[in-house]
Amino acid sequence: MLLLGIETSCDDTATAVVDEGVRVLSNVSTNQDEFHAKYGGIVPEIASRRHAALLSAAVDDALTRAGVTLDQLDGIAVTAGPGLIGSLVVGVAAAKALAFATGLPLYAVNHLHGHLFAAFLERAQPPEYPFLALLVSGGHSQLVEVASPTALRVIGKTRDDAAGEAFDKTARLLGLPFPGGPALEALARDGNPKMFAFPRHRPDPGTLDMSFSGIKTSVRYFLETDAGKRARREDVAASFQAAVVDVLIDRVARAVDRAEYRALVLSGGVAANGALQSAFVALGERRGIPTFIPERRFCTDNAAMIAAAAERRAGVCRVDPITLVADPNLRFN
Amino acid sequence: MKILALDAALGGFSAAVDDGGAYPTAVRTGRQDALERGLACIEMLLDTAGLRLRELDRLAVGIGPGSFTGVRIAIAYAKSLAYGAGIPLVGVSSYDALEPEAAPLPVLTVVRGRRGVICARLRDGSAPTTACGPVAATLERLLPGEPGLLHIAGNTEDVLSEIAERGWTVRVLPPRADVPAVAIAQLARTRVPSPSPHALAPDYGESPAVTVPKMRT
Repeated sequence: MLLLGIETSCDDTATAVVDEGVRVLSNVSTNQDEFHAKYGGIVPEIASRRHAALLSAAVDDALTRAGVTLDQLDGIAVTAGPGLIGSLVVGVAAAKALAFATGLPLYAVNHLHGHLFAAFLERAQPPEYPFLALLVSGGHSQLVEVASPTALRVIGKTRDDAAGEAFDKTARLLGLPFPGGPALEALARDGNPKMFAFPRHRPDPGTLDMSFSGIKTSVRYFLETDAGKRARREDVAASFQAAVVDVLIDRVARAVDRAEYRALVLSGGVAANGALQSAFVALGERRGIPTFIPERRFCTDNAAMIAAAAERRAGVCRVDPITLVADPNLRFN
Repeated sequence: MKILALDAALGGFSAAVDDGGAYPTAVRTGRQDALERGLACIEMLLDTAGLRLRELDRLAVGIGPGSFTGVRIAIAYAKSLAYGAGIPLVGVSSYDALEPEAAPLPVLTVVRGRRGVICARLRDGSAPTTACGPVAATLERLLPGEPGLLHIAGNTEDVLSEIAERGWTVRVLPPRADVPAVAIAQLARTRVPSPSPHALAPDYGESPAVTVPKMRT
């Protein structure tokens, strides 16, 4: 199918045209960081105003870049949740009305399912089922077992902060600008990851759960000590990052010990982190399982992944455009 | 001229189809269901009128001020409908939708905003002035001079006593139409459409509140 994707769950106004859930004909995203940076975080009211101002032009832009017209499309895919309610409603209202005006089928996609199927974009050889996905972003950290496009099971998740959230909070402790994750990674490049041993969370027996607030808190207390005040920020950043990566990779390794997977997928905004990518690929090589990491532009929030998820889950996510609503707390299954 | 008008800024969702007949057909829903029921209302109106979206000559939408979320939903609907069906799009201000036709001057048109906040426009023969904020501060800005006779329209119950206390002699005017979308459809007849649906700009009245959700650290 030739699908238009629309994604406005947080602060990026994103649209895309994707063929068969693989070939990306266009992928448009207007990043809002400059509008939020001075406030040190995402301001919901600003984000939703930007979506309302830009979305229809972004739809037109995606179609123009793809060289297709509305009547050549086979459907419209939109993020229905989870996310910021004020941001979601703009995308959902626009997608509903566009489907109503054109008569095209409408597909309501869970944002997190989008991240899972981002691994298929622009791949000649897609991951084989069953695969294990580590989904890490500013809002989520979870391990998902994907037995088929419609059999998704969360087998482990964070008990507190998401990994990306821990990055952002620690970046703030280190006085880094918003968005903190990429800034912290850049700082860590010049640091020694073994300089400080921040605590690694161990899961309860039999579970694959994770925790990241302890790492962040221990960085905070450390920075208040004399040693912390003297420490190079680069070393603190690198040591913090190493602790987070260790926890994530440890949980993937434990999951791989428990069941057979034919592929390992790393996705979500934090998947753009170089240290995490290296450790993830190394684990796959040690276990002899192929790894899949989407291109950076498909790791961060984007609309191509929403179209990719709709393509594979069309049978279960087609909705009536008249009645669809946004759900900020949309459940995974 | 066949016009479909919609509004979600002025307390709930309303839509109207004006097909050139004596009076438009209109529908209005409760406060917070523009996303859930708006399109169903539009579909029902079009069915009743025996019209298809593409047969419309013009689409009109209330651009605010009023409910922030309502403005966004209506704008998102309107842009997509206009773009998807290739219909010219006209934006109409909440003030115009509420102020009656040929209103006597001076006239103050009031729109209810967030809790305790109003947006208002004063027309007294010179260039119109607008202000948004808490009731007292907004009235202070728009009505600084000596009190006299003042006509008021819109959500007048929010300001009536406050204005009277300032010594003005107040006359309350009826709205242009009972349903906002009907007024918007009427006004859209003579307006010039937006050069492109994408260019239509909403009027929130106020700058965004810049509260960043608290991070626990």
